[in-house]
Amino acid sequence: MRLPMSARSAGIGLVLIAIILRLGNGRGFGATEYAQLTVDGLRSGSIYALIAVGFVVVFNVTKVINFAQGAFVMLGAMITADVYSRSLTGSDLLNLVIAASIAIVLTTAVGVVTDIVFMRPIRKSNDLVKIIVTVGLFTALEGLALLKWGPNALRLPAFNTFLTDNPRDTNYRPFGLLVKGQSIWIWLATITLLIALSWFFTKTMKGRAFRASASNELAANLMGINSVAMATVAFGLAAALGAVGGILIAPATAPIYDMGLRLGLKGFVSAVTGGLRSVSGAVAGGILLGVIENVAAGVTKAGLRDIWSAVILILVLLYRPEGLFAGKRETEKV
Amino acid sequence: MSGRVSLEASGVSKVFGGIRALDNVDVRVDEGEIHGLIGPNGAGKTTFFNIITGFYRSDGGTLTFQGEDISQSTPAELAQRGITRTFQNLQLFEEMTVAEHVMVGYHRHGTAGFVAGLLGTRHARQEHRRAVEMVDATLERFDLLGIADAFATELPLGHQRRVELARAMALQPKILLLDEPASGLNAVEAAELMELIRSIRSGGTTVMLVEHDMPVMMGLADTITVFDFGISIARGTPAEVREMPQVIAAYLGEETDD
Amino acid sequence: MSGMAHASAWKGLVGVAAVVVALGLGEMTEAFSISGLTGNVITFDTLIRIGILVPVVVGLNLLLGYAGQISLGQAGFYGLGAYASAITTARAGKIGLPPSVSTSWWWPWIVMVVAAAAVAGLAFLIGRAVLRLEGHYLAMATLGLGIAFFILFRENFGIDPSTVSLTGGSDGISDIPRLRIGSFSVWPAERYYFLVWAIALLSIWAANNLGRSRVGYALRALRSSPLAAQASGVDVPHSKAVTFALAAGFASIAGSLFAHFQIAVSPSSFSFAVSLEFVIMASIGGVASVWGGLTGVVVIFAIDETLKTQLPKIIDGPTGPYQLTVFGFLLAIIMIFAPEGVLHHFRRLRRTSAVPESGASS
Ligand SMILES: Nc1ncnc2c1ncn2[C@@H]1O[C@H](COP(=O)(O)OP(=O)(O)OP(=O)(O)O)[C@@H](O)[C@H]1O
Ligand SMILES: [Mg+2]
Repeated sequence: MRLPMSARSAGIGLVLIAIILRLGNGRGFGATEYAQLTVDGLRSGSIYALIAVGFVVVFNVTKVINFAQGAFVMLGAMITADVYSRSLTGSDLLNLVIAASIAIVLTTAVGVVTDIVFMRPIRKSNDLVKIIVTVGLFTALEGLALLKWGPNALRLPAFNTFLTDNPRDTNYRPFGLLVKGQSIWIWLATITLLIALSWFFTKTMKGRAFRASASNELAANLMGINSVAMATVAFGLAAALGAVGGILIAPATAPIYDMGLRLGLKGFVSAVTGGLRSVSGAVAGGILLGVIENVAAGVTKAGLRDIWSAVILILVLLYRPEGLFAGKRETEKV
Repeated sequence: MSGRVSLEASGVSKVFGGIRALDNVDVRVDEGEIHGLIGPNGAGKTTFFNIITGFYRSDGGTLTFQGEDISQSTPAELAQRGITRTFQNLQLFEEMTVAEHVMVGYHRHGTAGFVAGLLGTRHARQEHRRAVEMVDATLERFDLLGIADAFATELPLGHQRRVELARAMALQPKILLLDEPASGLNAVEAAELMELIRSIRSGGTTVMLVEHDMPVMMGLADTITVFDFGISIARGTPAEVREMPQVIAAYLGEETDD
Repeated sequence: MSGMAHASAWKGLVGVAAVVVALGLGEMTEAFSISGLTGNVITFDTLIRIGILVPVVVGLNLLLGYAGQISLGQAGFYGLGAYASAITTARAGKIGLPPSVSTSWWWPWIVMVVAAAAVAGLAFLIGRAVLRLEGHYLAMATLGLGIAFFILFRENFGIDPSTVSLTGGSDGISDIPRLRIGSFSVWPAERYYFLVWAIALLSIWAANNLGRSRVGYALRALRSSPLAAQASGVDVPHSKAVTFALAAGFASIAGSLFAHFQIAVSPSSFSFAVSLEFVIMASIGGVASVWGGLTGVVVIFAIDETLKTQLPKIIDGPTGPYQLTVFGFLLAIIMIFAPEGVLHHFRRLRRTSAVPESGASS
């Protein structure tokens, strides 16, 4: 007998949780340890969510899986760190604001150029061609970053250091857990951005036009919406979101030219987990991945951390390709 | 006509989101006949073809071919059993010549798999030679020899429809489903097509035909089933169906150009 | 209709074989050498590396050019082959293999074949499930898979290295034995060159056979219209999965050859960047043919080596970044202007001008 897919994926989920608890048990983990792992996971999960939304926005409008998304994240982080290190003004806080703004603007510009120069000519080509082009662009951007910044990591101080006298990040200790100041920044920024985004999509003309061309290009064109321009908006928006993700995570990870692959993959896995079409699914996917990955790494080996996203990706593709939170797939039109 | 049943659908339904594209339809196709399926746009004709050929799953009802259940079979399995089709929106292979299209149609007569193919075994080579001969015969029959080496996607529409037909006939199917084969053809081409379809039937292949071109349909079909909004509303000979009030009503409801 | 293509494919294959033999003999007899002919841009060592990669790219070409799918994790399968060979020879003791087996001449050959079969089997299972879905899903799944394998190699498959170290972590495994046939060692390099190229040509020959077989036509068909292919009786998901398995198996064999050539393996040879390079090679070659895989590898190696030797003359500092940038843009540009492969484009141009004669040849 074949179990229904949902029962099977629930079963797989339970088995995974059992394995994690078993391994954690072996290390003497209790509730506090799991809570700490979860809190830390929520932090990277928020970043993954932002990157994932970038994938979703581009995919919905253009049907392209934009593998260059990771490069946008890297650019955001690297440009910020670079501009900040030049100390353009006397105030560190102002320097950070300037650096972050420049990074977002430049990265958005790269996103827009990516679409206009590279993606537009292949609008009518098949998926395969589009995928390979974005993979090529990812590599090229990584190469350019290596040229500009070399193989060593840059540095960006934690944001709290601009507000306090403490040269290191602030540690908060609610309920016996350790929460870094940067985590708070990440959560606040992510929540603000997601609220702004939902306002953009539901309340503004441009946002509605955007959703229209995402759901039905032909109908949108008939309504006078230019879906070619919408694709450019999508790439710009995705690049901006990626850049913000990069800026937020920069203090925690020391930005380096090749950080894009890892983060891009995480964002992408989050998006797939959420069904690749819905923004809220992508956010949920990001949070989920962040937590699972961190807990799993905690009970096994830190070096294996990056494998979990690959494992989750493959499990989702095998058992629930429509995403964990989406309804049934529709019949493909013949 | 042998009078044996080739294809039988009863109580077949298909729902897309909220739309009932097919609602409990019954269709019976006898062996050796040309069975027409007509109905206004969106009546569910193509959906019905998609269900018979395994591209869609029916949401209920039964589906048999020569008495055996086929409701769970894949398109490829059905093709292997002798059920094939052409497509309303042409489905041609890019970068492949006309001859190569027919070669693909011959697929079901071969047995050489990946290993034999990789090693170029004698079996695979012989099979290939036989296929080439057979392809040439089919090309000749469909008057495609002159353009055998042209890329099919670069041909005019009339030729492309013939390529699809030749590819489907290369399977030597027991039943052939044609979805609007005359659309876009001029009068001369349509007349040639009618001849071809008749010759296909006299070769022993049962034909099921969806067609908006009424003269073509009336001239070819032995029996006609009429769909309207996903329901089968009538069945009979062309002459009978033409007089049925429910059919006239269905067609008067929309603008037709014939 | 296909007799002509058949004959020219054979001529091509014989031609390549002749060049390969000539270069090998030239090197052996010291009559002439590839380094001399190319002003040290391409060395004999490079020729061997090219030969090792040919099966990888031929396999990828089948997948790309015939099944219309792409693997972004081919370096993972390549690495599986390499590590299988390395572990079962250089670390045989650690996995409890008796020396009588692991030091015998036939053992590495058996490992090579069994590993390829196992890797192909694994790829088939994954492909079977993922290829039910359309388009980009295989690309995604293989991207994840490739990275997962890379991490597994680096992290000793997740096993605590103090219990048993299989992969040697980031340092990798060294002291992998050379291949032998009986007491005949397939080394020095000239001998290995002939082995590698024999396998390379064999892979081209097999891919070429497949292309002209019933399966080859089915694969080309399903690439552009899976619907019509299915209606013609082609089991589309199965055919795609087998092609994917083949490509993985080819990569595994190449990985084994690489391990016994390098006599050391480490994770960095199997990173995403390597998968990417494979995709670039396959894209240049384009639609599978005798030439596709070979040309892709040769062109990329030529560009690579030229950049490596020429760039330092104009730029100081490391040249790696330029290579990354150049390859990235190259890939994007090839796909935009010649998605069927650069080589395919040239053939197409020739063909169009030759249509009148070929019309009558069927
Ligand atoms: N995959 C699908 N998803 C959603 N709706 C579909 C799908 N396939 C068909 N439909 C809908 O089902 C109904 C029947 O469509 P179908 O193509 O079968 O009609 P038809 O009789 O072939 O019409 P025509 O004469 O225009 O070809 C239509 O409303 C169509 O939009
Ligand atoms: Mg129709």
